[in-house]
Amino acid sequence: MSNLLSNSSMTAEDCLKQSIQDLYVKLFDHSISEITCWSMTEGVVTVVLEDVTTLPERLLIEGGYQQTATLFRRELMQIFKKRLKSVF
Amino acid sequence: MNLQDNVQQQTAGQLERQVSQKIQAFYRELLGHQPSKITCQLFGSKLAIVAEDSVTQPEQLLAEEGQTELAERVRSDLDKVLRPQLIQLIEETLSVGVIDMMSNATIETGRTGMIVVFDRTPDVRNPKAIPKVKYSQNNGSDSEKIDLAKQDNDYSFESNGSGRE
Repeated sequence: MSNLLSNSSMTAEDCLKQSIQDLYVKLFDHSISEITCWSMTEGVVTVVLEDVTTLPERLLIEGGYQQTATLFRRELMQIFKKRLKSVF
Repeated sequence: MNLQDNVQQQTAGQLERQVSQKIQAFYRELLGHQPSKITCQLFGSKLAIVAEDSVTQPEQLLAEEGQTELAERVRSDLDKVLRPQLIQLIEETLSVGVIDMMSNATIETGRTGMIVVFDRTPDVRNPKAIPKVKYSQNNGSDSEKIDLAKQDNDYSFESNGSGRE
């Protein structure tokens, strides 16, 4: 992320969004439709991701496998958070 | 031309290719992931299907992170969701009824295998190209093809697997 920031005119917010989108696509082969980032207090960033549910998860929910989909989502987010930390 | 006529005019190889392509498109549409290769082989009133790279990226990731059991559960439940639509796709393409379908996937290799059992052998222009299709001993012509399930006294027609057209 620091490379992105130093090599372009992107704002820190744009840079964060881009890094999140790139990581999500790389990990899950799925694009997030909208990413919102804002900083309310020093050192804390709030991030909202829209349409994060992948097609396999959606299919499980539609097919009535809500519990499997929930476990699946929980694990995917754990993996995502772990990898996201390593980006910064 | 109705669907039945269309199927009768096609060769076994053409039908196998058609099923492969439709399954590939089906996976792409529903899972957002296209298997790299799908192999279909008719044998008598059955169809064997092997899909390469059929496991989606999120499932692979789970397995890589040591969550193999959850990855297998996800795959198993996905298969249950996809099953009725896959059966319908195969029935419509081959104009036969599916009476059974067994499937399993290996997360590590990304392969899915399926065996589909039909109520009869699909009608094709070259039935001799389908291994295990039985013919009467008196006349081996294509028009004499008889249903495997109904005849026990006939011999099997073995195909060398080449020249399926």
